[in-house]
Amino acid sequence: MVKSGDLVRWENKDLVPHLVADISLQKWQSQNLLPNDSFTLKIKNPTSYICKHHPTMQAKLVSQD
Amino acid sequence: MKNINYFKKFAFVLLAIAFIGCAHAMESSNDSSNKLTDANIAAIVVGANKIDISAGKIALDRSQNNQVREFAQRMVTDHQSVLDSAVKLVTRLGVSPKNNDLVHALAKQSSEHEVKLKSLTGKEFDRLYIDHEVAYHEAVIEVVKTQLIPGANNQDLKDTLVSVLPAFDAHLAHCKNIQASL
Repeated sequence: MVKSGDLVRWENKDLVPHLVADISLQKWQSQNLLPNDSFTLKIKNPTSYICKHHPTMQAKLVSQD
Repeated sequence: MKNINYFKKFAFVLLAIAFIGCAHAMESSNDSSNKLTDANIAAIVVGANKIDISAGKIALDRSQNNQVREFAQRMVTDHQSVLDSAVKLVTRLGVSPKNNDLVHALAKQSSEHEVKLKSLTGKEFDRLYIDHEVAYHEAVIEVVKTQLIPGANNQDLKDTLVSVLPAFDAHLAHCKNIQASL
C-alpha cells in the first residue's frame, strides 16, 4: 500500500536484468537494472507496472489515499 | 498440430532423459547419500544455458520477425547472465562441473536442432525456433523443479536454482504469447 509522495524502491534480486516501467510504458521507467541494481521512484499516482524485458511480469501499486 | 505433437514428444523425451540421467548418476555416484552430485547439477546448468544462448544467436542471425528477434536477444542476455552467475558460484564453491548422460543428451539434441534451424528461413524458421523454445523451457523448468533443486546439496546452489525460476517462467509465458501470434 502506497500513497502519493511515497518513495518506492525496486531492488533486482534476480540473476537477470530487469527494467521496470508504468504499465502504459509512457509515464516513467527505470534504467536497465542489472542484478543487485535498484531504482527509486517518488509516486504521484499509484499504478500498475511491468518489466519491459519480461512483459508477462506485471504487478500493481495499491493506493492508500 | 503435427508440430505441437512433435514438441510435446520432445519435451517428454527430455524429461525422460533427465530422470534416466539422474537415476544413472545415483547408481554411479560415490556419494553415499545417492543424490545427483552438485558437480553434475553445475554441468547441467552450464550446458542448458549455453544451448539457449546459442539458439538465440542463430535466431538473431536468421529471423526477420521483430517479436522473435526481441525474444531471442532476451534469451541471449538472460541466459548469459544466469550462466555468468552459475560459473561464479561454482568457482567460489570449488565445484568442477561434471558432465553426465543428461548433459550429453542435451548437447546432442541441441546440435540436431541447430542443424534444422539453419536449414530454414522466414516463418518456418520462426515457428521452429519458438515452438522449440516453448518445449525447451517447459522441460527445463520441470527438471529444475523436480530434479535439480531437490538434488542440490549446497544451499547456495539450491538457492540459485530457485531464484532462476521466475525468469524462466517469464520466458515460457513470453514465447507462448509469440507462438500464439505466429
